[in-house]
Amino acid sequence: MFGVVYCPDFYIQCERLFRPELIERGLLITSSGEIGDDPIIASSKETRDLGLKPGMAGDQLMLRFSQITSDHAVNVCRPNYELYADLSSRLIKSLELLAPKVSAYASNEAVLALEGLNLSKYKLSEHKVSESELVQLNGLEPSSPYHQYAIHLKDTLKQWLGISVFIGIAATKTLAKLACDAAQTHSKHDGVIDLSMASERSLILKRIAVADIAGISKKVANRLSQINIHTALDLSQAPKNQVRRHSSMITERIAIELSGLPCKTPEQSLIEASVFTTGKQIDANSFKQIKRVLGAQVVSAIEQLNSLSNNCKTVTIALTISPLDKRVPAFENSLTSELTKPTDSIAAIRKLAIELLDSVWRDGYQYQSLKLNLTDLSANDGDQIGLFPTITKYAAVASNKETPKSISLETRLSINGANLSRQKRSLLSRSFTTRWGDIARVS
Amino acid sequence: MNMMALRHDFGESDEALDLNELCIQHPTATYFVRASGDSMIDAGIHCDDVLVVDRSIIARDGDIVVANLDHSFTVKKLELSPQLRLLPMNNQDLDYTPTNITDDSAFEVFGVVTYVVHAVR
Repeated sequence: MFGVVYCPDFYIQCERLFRPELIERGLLITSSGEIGDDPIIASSKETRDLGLKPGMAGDQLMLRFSQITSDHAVNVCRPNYELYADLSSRLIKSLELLAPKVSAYASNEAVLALEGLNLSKYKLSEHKVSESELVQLNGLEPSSPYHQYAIHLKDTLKQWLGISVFIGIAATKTLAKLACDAAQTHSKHDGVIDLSMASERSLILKRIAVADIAGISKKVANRLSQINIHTALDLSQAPKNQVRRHSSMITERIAIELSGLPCKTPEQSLIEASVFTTGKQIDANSFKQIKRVLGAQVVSAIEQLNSLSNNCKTVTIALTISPLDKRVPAFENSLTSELTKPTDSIAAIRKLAIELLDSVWRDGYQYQSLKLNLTDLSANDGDQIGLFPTITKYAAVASNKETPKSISLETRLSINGANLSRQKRSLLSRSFTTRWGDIARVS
Repeated sequence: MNMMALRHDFGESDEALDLNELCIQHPTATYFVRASGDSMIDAGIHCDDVLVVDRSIIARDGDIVVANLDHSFTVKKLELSPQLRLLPMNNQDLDYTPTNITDDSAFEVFGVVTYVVHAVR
């Protein structure tokens, strides 16, 4: 069983925690702390309702802002990443005390592996649900011990940190993510959706359109609708080979996960990369950090290469500059190079990939994503010169009918173009949790 | 007897005493704030003292709490019965009066004050 914990409006919640005067008031976070050329990094519910959406900038933002009447107070501040980082680390540390295994996916999102969780504390609730309540809950009984656990988790995080979260629980990570998204959309679930029981699963999946599933693009959703797959439930029940024929391996894996069967590696990392698109928060300006990301991508790509018993000849690196970096138009800087011979050697591929990164890298830009592509795949059938014959791998090739043309991995490097190093300290909210001079005053 | 042997004989721990260990039971749920004014002087809370606030503790009657009252922070003694009230603790200054919490108040306990850090010079 897995859980996905997500903090909505994380930056906004952090700002309000120590500034109660901002509670229930409109709040925008922009990198300059002013309304103007900078895009909105975060917008509270109150300001979103006024049409001020994250990403808005320049004339569009000024126009919208000028139409807002003065009885709607809109506060603007600079992002205080020091504060957000501390609360993010408190969130993860708290989860580590409350769940068996925690992986942080973003500053405000974590996946819990719940195997080994002691559920005896979270017995089935005594309260019998009445007919009318059942209708309200769309037939869902809030009764499984996992549900009770998730509610306990949510309440504890609110108590300890002062931060509200949504939680989804299910047999696979993809399902848990979907449940968490649904908990956000359907307010009547009190922020928790538990899909550990099959009956509840189909009820929720029926209400989710394929296009709304994280990791499935509009294009793929259109193709799926041609074979009568419209909802997440359709996708989970469709014959898997049909799904694969009409879309991709990743969609097939997502379909398998939706039916409640966890996928095993190496595709798992790919699914996670596509389902959890926000990625870990990385200082997108630091070459060292991005090199580390690339290193991880190489390892993951080699895993896939090995599972296919393939070699690759060509390596491509693409580094995209954030569209929010106003100094340059968004573009992708990519470079391709060939290895001296087809190989699956991690050392050789890593060396070339890092050389490429070195060449495309320019200091001072705000990068959005890093893509690694391995192409010119060929069967690893022993044509390479080596000391040891690769007999076992050769045997595996014979049974492998389909060979993909390439292996591609992409990692997001920044969230909303957020970037630490360009921050000036003026106009910031105070670092309430990390600087003695900044702690909140109480009278 | 050398230092290593001493350490060995008196247990593995060669860590010095840590104030965090004494004052902070729940690190992920503990925040610090600084007191202003002297409304809580009888509770030993002086202006500019640092308060250790533990959010993981459920506030009980008589606890000193940091509360969020009508969109600002205050530190007071919490009284749950007979009526929900926030009490100042300063017998010298009668200008400080209890605040009754009604349904109209925007009120939330931020956390329970567990320690006061006061500089004496």
